Formats: sequence, C-alpha cells, structure tokens
Amino acid sequence: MFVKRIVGTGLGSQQCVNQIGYEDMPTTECEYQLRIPSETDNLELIRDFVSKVAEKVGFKSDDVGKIELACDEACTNVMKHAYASGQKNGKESLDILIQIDYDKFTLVVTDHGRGFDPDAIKLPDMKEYLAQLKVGGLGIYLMKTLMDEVDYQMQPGVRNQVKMVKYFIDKKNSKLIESEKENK
Amino acid sequence: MFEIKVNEAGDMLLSGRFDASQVGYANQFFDKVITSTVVDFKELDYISSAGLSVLLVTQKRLSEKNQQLKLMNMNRHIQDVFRYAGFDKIFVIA
Repeated sequence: MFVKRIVGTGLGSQQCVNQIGYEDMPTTECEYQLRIPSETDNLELIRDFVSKVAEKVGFKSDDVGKIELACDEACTNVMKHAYASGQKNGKESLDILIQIDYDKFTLVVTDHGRGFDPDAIKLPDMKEYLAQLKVGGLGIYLMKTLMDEVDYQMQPGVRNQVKMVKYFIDKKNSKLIESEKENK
Repeated sequence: MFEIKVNEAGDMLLSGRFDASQVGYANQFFDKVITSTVVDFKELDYISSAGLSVLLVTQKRLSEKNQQLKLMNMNRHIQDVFRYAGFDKIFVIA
C-alpha cells in the first residue's frame, strides 16, 4: 500500500508559464506531492507522476524526458543506497515534492535513510570513465547533466534531500530578460 | 512493463521501460551473451542509467574477446540519453 497525495493550489499551469516576468507573482504557485514506498517496482509510478506534472505546466517533450530521467536517477539512488539492507523494515518511503514557480520547476526527493556526504561525490571524468568502461556512478552525472541545478541537504537518519531545478526558459535568457527589465 | 525476446538468429528485442527494477530480469539474458549480438531497441520506450549499466557490463565483457553489442532502432529520447551519458561513443548504434 502507498499513500499518494496530490495538492494543487488552484492556479492553472498555463498561468504559471505565461506570467513569466510579472513582478507581483507569488514565490510558489503550485505544489504536488507523492509519498511512496522506497522500492524500485514503484519507479514507473513515480515517473508517471513527475512527467504528468511537467507536461501540465508546459514543458516540451524533450524537457519532460529529462525531468523524468533525473527523477528516476535520484529515486533509484535512494532505493539502492539510502537504507542499508540490514536496516530495512519494509516501511521505508520517499517523498517527492514538485514546486512550480513562475520561472522554474523544482523537484525535491526526500528520504530518511543514512544519506551520504555530498562533498565526497565527484563527477566522473566521462572520457576516462568510458575509456575504461567503468560501471556505476552514472546516475548523479546524468542528474547534473539533465537539470539546471542539483543540490543536496543531508541529515543522515533524519532527512536527506536532493533538490533539482529546471527553468522554464534558458537560464541565460532569463538573465537577459532581467537585465532588460532593469534597463527600462 | 519490460520484456526481452530473443529470435532464432540470437538478436535481442527489448520492449517497454528498462529501469532499476528490471536489472535482475535483464541480466538473465545479457549474462548469456558471449558473441557479438544485435540488440533491437525498436519497442523500447525508456532507459535509465540502470539499464545503461547492464549494457555497459556486457559490452565490457564482450570487448575482452573482441566482440560487441550492436544497438539499433533507438527512438530519439533514448538516443539523447546515450548522448548525454557519452555512450554513443562506445557502442555501435545503427
């Protein structure tokens, strides 16, 4: 059994996208949440949830695919590593929170397992990695490649979070728009 | 749903969505591959790094005997995943 909770604040997805640049926009327009057992059998459900929300707020197919895969990688890491196998009691869950702001889509994956030291994570040198046909460690590399921002907040045994952001428009273009607004 | 079928020629046809939940099932097939083999992605909709790792392990094992996997009929999304991971440089993709 799993608990699924979807919360919408009532603002439409098109509003989220079309009102880019409005100065009086609230910080967060919509939130969607899913709590689900930390089992790989649930990856498809998680991907469906995340991709449906990404489609709803206006991302094109390519970006929906990137968000879906980045979420899969983050959740797979939790399922494989967050809970030591000897400590599992079958009740481990993970939470997925999606926040829609006027300019960005934020995906937060939270678990209560043992976490890890984010400073110890080194992105693989892909040239060397591929030359030696090394196996594993691709998930974090893909997350950082697919999303605009990836950030970790670890409190082992209490709460570990991976936060990933995808902007609705290219970040450089956003800065240009901000710059143009300031110059007016 | 993920499925692997092997035809009479030994070609592997993948279908569905290949993620971490399917690694054990996939290894039952890929562990038996000992010579160069065609892997047809025509009906595969999705792959994550877990699926890529299964392919990489097999490719690594085969390359020691100068054999390889030959991947074909990938959809555009899967081609993109291979490109993001740099895997387009280590597999023969038709």
